[in-house]
Amino acid sequence: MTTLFLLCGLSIIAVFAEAIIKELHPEYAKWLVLAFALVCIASVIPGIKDSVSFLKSISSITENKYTGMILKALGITYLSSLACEICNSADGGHINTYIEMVSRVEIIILTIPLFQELLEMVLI
Amino acid sequence: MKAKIIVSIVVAILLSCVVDAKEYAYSSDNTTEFSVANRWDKLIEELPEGIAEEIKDISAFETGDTISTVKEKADIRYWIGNIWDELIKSISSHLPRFLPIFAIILLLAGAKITLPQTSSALSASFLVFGKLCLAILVIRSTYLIIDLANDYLNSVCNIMNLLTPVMQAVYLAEGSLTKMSISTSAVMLVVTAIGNINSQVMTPCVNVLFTLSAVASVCDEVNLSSLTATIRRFIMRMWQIITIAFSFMLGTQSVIASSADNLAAKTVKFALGSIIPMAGGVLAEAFNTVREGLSFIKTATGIGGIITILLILLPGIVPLIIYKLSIIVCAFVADLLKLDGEKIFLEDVKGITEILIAIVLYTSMMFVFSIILFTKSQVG
Repeated sequence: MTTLFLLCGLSIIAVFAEAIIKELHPEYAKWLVLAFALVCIASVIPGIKDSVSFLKSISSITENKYTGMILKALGITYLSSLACEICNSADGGHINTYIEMVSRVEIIILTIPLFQELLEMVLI
Repeated sequence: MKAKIIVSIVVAILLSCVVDAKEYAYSSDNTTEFSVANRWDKLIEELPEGIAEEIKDISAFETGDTISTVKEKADIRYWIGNIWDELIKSISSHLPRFLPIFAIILLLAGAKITLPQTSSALSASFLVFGKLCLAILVIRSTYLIIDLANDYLNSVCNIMNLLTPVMQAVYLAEGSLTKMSISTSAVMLVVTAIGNINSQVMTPCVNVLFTLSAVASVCDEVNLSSLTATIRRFIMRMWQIITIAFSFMLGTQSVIASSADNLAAKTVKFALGSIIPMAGGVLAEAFNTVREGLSFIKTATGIGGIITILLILLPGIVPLIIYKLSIIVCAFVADLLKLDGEKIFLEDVKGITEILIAIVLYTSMMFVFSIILFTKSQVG
């Protein structure tokens, strides 16, 4: 909760700072946005770690590999979405499209063994 | 009363290990004893583990000890306790299977809500991946349940197989050749047909259903629900026809059933028809036969006979019902969390579980019929 308040305060400061920097040095404005995004990610990471360890414990209780696989795919999705957003904010052009494509390929690579397993179960 | 129960249980157990009448009538050497002992051991092997444990101390040749052993087990509370233990064991061993499915549904629902809407293609890829994981997990656990049902059907068919020569022998001893040929061939036909239908028709049909359901769940654009429903209906109609044919073949409809149809019977028939949507119709129709048959068994062997039948049938039926309930809960949760594709897939799996339950109930009914015929051959 404290982190959230801190982030809200920081975001208001960042908005004003961006407006001022845009007037004085427009080339530094996107670096400010990028720095703010990195601060946001850094503040969320400890919470993510706790959540992931909790989900891993659920996965070990239920004794199945699929929960872990879904978590992995979820991680890929969140990470690439975040990267895409940062690229968008920093006027990264089409870089976000490539990030999205690569992450989709990653998910497809994860999916292939599942398809194989499904086919083996159902057809063979 | 207690003595009657003890004697009837002993008689029921001993009757079940009677072998070929020819051996009894014409042979007095050790080979006969060896053969009877073999049959007894084989029968014990075929019985479910719990029941085999209960009666393993009872020997076919030591009637004095047998009575003293059975005396301890003649109390009805002992058997009700056993049934209760069996139910608790089934529930506790099969309920954890539903946890991973539930966990994945919750994960998918959470992800669907929190995933950023800006990269919809990425979210869609993840959701397809999640659906695939769920499909594999559900199919895997359903195959485990199918294996369990197959083991149960094999076990019941084996017990029916073991009853046939005994029945044959008794009819032969009576000189009723026609009765012998009709009854034993009918039971043998039922056993063979159930085995063949399960391996040649049911397993491929269930595989096809699974494939269609999995494809439909992964691809939102493809709607295969009507096709899967048609295949399910086809399988159920086929089973209904076979069951009706077998019921008449076993001759129990006309021999055992009485015209009495009181309020309690009507209530149970209604419950069977409504709770088990597809199998219920035939089971409700056969209810009178089964009820009269069970009262006949009760008269011949005491309440112990009915409880033993229950103990044989419960381990096959209870896990299926628990699994179906788990799938219903998961489908309900998926519906609540707006996971439409997952809900449809789980509904399809529920349909497959209903087919399994129907098959197991039909076979159980056939088993009860064959026990009735067997008891009639011994008493009549």
